[in-house]
Amino acid sequence: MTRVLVVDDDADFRSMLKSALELAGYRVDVARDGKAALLAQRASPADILVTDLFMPEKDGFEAIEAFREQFPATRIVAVSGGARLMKTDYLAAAGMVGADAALQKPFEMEKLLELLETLAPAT
Amino acid sequence: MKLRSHLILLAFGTIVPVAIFAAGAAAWLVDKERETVLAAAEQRSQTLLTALEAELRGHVAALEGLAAHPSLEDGDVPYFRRAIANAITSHRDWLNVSLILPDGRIAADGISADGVQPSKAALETVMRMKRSQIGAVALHPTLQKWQFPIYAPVVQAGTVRYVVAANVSTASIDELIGIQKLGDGWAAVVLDRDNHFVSRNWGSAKYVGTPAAQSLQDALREAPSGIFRGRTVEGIDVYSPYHRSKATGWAVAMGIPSKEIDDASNRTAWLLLSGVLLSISLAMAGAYVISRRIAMPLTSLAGAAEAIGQGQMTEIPQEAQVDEIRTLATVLQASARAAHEREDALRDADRAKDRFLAMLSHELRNPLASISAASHVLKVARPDSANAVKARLVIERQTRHMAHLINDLLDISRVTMGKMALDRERLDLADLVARVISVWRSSGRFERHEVALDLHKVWVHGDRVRLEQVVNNLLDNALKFTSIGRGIRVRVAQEEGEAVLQVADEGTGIPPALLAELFKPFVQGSEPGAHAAAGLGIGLSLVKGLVEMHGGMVSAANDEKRRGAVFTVRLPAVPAQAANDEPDSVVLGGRRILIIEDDDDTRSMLHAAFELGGHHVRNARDGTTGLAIAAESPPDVAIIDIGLPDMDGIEVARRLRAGPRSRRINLVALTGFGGSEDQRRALEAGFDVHLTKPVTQERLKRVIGDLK
Repeated sequence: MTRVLVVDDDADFRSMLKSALELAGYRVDVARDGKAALLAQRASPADILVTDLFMPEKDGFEAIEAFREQFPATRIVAVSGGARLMKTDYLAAAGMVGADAALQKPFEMEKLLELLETLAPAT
Repeated sequence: MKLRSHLILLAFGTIVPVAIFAAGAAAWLVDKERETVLAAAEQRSQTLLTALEAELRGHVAALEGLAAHPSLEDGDVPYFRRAIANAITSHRDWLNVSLILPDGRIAADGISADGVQPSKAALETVMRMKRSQIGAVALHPTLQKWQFPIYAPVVQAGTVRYVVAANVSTASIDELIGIQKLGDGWAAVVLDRDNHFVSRNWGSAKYVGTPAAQSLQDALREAPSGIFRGRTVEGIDVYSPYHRSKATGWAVAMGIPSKEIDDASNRTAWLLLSGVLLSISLAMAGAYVISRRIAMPLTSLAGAAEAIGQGQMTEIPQEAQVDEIRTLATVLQASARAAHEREDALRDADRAKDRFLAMLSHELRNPLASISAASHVLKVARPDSANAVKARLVIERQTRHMAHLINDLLDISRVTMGKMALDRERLDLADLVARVISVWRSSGRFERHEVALDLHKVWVHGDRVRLEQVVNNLLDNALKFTSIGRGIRVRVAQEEGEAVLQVADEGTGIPPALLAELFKPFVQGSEPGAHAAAGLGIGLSLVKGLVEMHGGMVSAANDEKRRGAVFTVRLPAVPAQAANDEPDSVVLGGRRILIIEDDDDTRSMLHAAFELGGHHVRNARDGTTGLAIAAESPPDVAIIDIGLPDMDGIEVARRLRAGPRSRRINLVALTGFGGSEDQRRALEAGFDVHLTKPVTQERLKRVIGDLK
């Protein structure tokens, strides 16, 4: 069973994503920021990381970099509402630090599910 | 037209009249000089005439003396012949002397048969008139000398018996001319009765005996004396004064070459012309130099102005030599700087707006993401499953959150644009906070957190709805950053005349870098960064706006001990609500009151009334003075007339509200017109109370008492 780690500081979003992914057959862990995500990953490694970009403790960019370094096998999906701020496209920036894909909030769940399917390791 | 052309025109305008006057003066001088010269010549001519007459009279007298010789009475011709010889010897210029018989035969002569024939006409005249006559000039045939004859009658017993004739050499006349003082190039001539040259100072030998120039002859015919302009026999153009002798019929004339006189005037004219030309060249050179001094800096200033217009910050040349241009440069520099600053401000504002939009988008996308995810869960989960229940709750919560967000957004734009009016009343802040918390409790939002309250009564003068909004936002923020099970503390108390509201959470705290910018997500200048979109919310900036509208301030800090953030709101506290709310019972002396009113009567009336009430009163008759007084020592209450001479009272209120020391002053607006629109404007500008004139002392007392 593919394991997904959802990282977001918004508890409602976190829990809805968890429900949706579980209903779709994934095993889901959650964390509220990058720091917690790394701890969770060490305890039980996930195949796919779905992370928000802007969080209070360790933000998404730092988390993605840390995952790339420590868990190179983990596929990463960045999700954020602040896609574009001033001249910076943060989703593109997430791709540059190592995310495999990026989605702007809000997104249709079907899209994320399709994405996860392509990213999930072949069983 | 170029500046240089203007200056040249100016120079010409100045020079041309001067040149015209100078030319007139020069012409007058030349005329004067000519007159002087001609007068001198005329004088010479007169002198020559006098000398000529004397000379001829001398010859005539001598000849008449000879004619009276006694020998002739006796008809003793041989004896007279000796007298003739003596006469010729004693008169150097007498070439010959003859004794002529009335029939024209020569009875005796000094040089016999010299070939000179007496003129028959002359003889007849002498005999008829019985007077001496001077004849025409003629060449002596044997001596080859020019001479003229003088005839003197010898009258005996009433009849002319003989005529004595003397042939006088023209050399005597040449001498006469020779001794005259003549100017260089002047001609002097003596003419006989027939207008033939007798003597001439130039080329006498050549012209003697020939007729004088036609112009001179014409002039002589016209008048016996005068001045004319004509040509000499050589064809030289001359001014010529002349005189004809009445006694002898002979004439003298002077010829002053017109060239000489005209040379003088030409010289003057040339001097004048060169003077004018020199002036013009100097003027042109001056115009060039001055126009360069003016035009060059102006051109470079124009370039600078253009560069400024294109938004470049350019160095403005300041080295102009003309004061006015230097002033222009300074002013241009200042306005360039102002324009640049304005541009910077606009750019910052634009950036702030971009940030605002980006943040808005982020803030709205997050709840939408949760709602969207929840609706997916509702679609796929069984309706009665735990997931579905949770999803419904999420949708409810996030929808409410979004609505709240949108309201805050609208409010904050109203606060920023100064369009929010406060509906203030005296209220107990602790009571207000308690009510908000009880609503939160009953809605279950505190279910998973520990909320500790420490509320003490403190009165403020504020808008109930807006202050509730402040509390809601602070709680919202605290809840957002505090994990389930951890605590939130809310405290209300009075500290040093201020009402203090504190909301402390046990969340993650605020990164130090963020503390300063926490409340100004939309203000210009701060660098946009990840934190701006990190969901810190617009709520805090609305809190700041609302608190400041109430004359208070808000700050944030980290609680070192408990870990977490503390938000502190400070509002001006007002005295507790009096139990007896009778207007007359409000007696509050010792207030510092500032009256800003331009009407002298109203101002002194108010001043006196407040002083009688025991207040410390200062007054100002315009906004500027009022602001200066308020800045120096902020009063408790400012009573401001809306219609002031320099700036209106609305503006005064805005500035007072903007000042750090003056923002807490209670502001009372006074107007002569009390439309609701005026009231609204006054209240929006930050006035606490709006009063329409005339104001009774009773009302003022009440108002002052009501205020803090």
